[in-house]
Amino acid sequence: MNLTTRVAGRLRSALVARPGPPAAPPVPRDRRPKAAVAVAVGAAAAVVLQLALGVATELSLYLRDPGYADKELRLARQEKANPGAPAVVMLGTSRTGFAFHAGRVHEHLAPALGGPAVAFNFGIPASGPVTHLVYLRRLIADGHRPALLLVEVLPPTLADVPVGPALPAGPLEARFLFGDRLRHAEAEAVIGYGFPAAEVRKKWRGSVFTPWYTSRFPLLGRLAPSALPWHLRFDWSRSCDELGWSSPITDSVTPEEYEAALGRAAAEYKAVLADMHPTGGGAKALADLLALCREQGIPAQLVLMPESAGFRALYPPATTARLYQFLSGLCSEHGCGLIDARTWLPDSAFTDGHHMLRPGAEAFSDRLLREVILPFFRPRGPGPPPGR
Amino acid sequence: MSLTLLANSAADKGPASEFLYFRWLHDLLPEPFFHTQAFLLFFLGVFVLYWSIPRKWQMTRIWVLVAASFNFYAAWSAELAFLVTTTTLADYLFGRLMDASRRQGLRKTVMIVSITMNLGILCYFKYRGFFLNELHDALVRLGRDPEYAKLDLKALALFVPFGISFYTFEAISYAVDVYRRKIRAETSLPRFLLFILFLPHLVSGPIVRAGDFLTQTRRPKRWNWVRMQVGVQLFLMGVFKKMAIADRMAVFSDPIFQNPQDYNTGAVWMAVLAYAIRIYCDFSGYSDMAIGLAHLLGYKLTNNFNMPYISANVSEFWRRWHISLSTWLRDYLFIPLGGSRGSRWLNYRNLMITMTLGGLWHGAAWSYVLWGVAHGLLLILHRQFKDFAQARPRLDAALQTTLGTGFRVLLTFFCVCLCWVLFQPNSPPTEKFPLGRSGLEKALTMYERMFSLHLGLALPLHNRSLWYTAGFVLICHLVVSRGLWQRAYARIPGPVLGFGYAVCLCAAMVLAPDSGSSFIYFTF
Repeated sequence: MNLTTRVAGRLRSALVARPGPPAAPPVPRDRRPKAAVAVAVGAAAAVVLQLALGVATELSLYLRDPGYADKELRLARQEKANPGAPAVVMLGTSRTGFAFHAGRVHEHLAPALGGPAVAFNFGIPASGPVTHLVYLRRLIADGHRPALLLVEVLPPTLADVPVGPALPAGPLEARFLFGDRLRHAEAEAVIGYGFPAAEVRKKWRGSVFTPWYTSRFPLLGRLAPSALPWHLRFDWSRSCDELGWSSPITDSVTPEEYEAALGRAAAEYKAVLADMHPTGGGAKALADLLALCREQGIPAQLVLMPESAGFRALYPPATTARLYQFLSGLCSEHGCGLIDARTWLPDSAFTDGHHMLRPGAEAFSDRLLREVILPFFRPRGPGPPPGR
Repeated sequence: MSLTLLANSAADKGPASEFLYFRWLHDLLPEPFFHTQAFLLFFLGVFVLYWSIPRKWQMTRIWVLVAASFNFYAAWSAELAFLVTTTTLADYLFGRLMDASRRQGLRKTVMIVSITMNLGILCYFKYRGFFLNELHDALVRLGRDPEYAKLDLKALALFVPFGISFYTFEAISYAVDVYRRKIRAETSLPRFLLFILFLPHLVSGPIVRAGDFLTQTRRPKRWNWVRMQVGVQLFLMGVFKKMAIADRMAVFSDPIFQNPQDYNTGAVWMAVLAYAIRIYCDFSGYSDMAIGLAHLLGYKLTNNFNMPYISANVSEFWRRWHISLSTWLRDYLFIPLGGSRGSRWLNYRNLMITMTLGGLWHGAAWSYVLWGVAHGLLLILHRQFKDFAQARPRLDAALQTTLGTGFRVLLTFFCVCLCWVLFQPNSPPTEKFPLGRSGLEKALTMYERMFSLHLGLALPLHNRSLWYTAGFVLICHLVVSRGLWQRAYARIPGPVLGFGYAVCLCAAMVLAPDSGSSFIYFTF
């Protein structure tokens, strides 16, 4: 026997079956079709269920972005209840969410205008100019056209900061606004403002192809909110009032509580503000938002929100100078006003130096109404108030 | 490869390899968990390759499975994969040597060498730190200088080959069975390698017996839709148990087991309930996945759980809980020690030794040892009470009624839950506890808060989902134990069953909490 034959024999014995016990007894034939059908239907149904929810979340924001969807629904209800009434909408972050007491504004605005009016708080926690731009585009697409749009400027969101480990710098809000909250076109748009492309696209893909997993928190938030810890709840805007205002949990804080909260806020923003240059994706998005307003004929005003003395101390003079230089340039370029409310309120009006307590929110809203909103509508003369 | 799709958290990474191939493999399979996206893709590749090989090329199929299993292990740690393979080769040679020899003395020597090698490796990797640190503390207490520093157990844990406790027991049972001539030594190396390395049972069992498994490797595997269906069904059941129940219960139990001193009495009791559900669904979920995957490859592994929480006494609990381990301990430890033969005291001694070593098997910490001791005591207590009740027919009859049985089930569950408090590992150092905390210390704190009223933090999450989950698990137990499921299953049409699988998968995905946790038994 030559070597080749021996090797072939060895190989054959190593790879091919040797005689062994007989095969397991065959399964009854009548069970096989049922099993095959069950496996095939299961695989097909799993794919269909995933894609069905994926398509549903792409078409409706009810699951994809409950924070936006709940507020938009409320705004639509207000506009429906007051057809043709001018609407004042304030778009902003959690600061706005707690600060702009839309009910109080509405209470005084309607009599002042001599007819129905709408005031609405569109404050979205953990947002920034990129989120605001995306939301404004959605609002316009959904048929909303505010008579006056107040846009909060949260200075730290104007600079690019490290978004995550091994990721390039990007807008601060990229830490919170993930691809699964965005539609496909929106996901591509935010990438243009410096959001990490691979992460955003991966999250978006997950929300379409495996939405039962990727969108599980919004889904559970709708079906069984108590099954989720608070930090995973996306349905927080359900707790705001009909005009979008989130009333603070408490009316006052002790000095110790205030100091501790200010310390937490400082830990969050101090490093960003220390050498902030308003040249990041957020700054670009804010400019684009104003351009969009101009293009759509929506009057807009930028608002620098009230801050306590302790919080304002986090801004070095150079940062403050750069911020004002950037905002004044932006306003003159796009023909909008800048409302500097940073010093409007005393320290006692805040929980943590920049989120307001109820008395602070009332004082801020009253002054905003008096100095910004009413003057905006009054000089327009005897004609009908600007409407939709 | 991207992060896991279905589970977020990872086991601690194994030691990194210098070889490019193994580093690539590690990126491909970052976690040795079955319910991860990476593993499912890997398994899909193995599955397609395996079934595309013609049936008569059975040995080629076996080689494919051996290679897949080796790579699965090497993705975590190449060095340890080689170690496991080497010891398996040695066990193969020891078996052949025993089979070839007719001299009983030599056979016995070879068996002892095989057991010593396997237990030695187990002790070196898993118990070295524990024993050396205990010795260190004892010497310090005696005023002696130990002349060595205490070992960092967390760092050592990274180098413990995963599944070592499981495959060590498989190798030992093989050596003993060959020695006892219960089975012939396996002559085919690939078949023997597959017996130890088969990837579904490699990580956390079930502990398979050579007699069961090696016979299956000789049968030519043919594609079988019924088997595929069973495999898919078991796998999905396991995924649901792990993601929707065990990981969800961990949200309730983990923070409290970590820092029991911060929580109020009610919260600690509920955390114990959550932990009992968690540990059952975690391990039985893993076992279901393992058995399901084995079915998909044409193999049948032994059932590991049989609704343990409806046991009416602790003996029954151990016939239903981790069956592959409890039968192993019975066959290779309890019976060789003398079993139930001899006097009552000898019987109790054998029980205590078996359960204490069984506790130690779970982990190198006093808390696990005490857990084993507690179960040993409960088993003895049950035997005593059984004798007491049998001598009183009216009491015995009352205990056998539905009400009596319900009471016994509740009492057994209560006792088992109390023992679960002990079943926790030591904690690594934290800011609050710079020296770390032993599992025993935490358990004692928990007992103290459970049995006296304390104020403190409430449960980390609304307790509604805990009660719903507990109710769901109870209903599942009742439906299966009364045979309702088996009767209904036969009548459910195939398409409905298939749709049920898809719904089960979606439900598992929706109910998965923020961060999945590693399998508890993965560390054993």
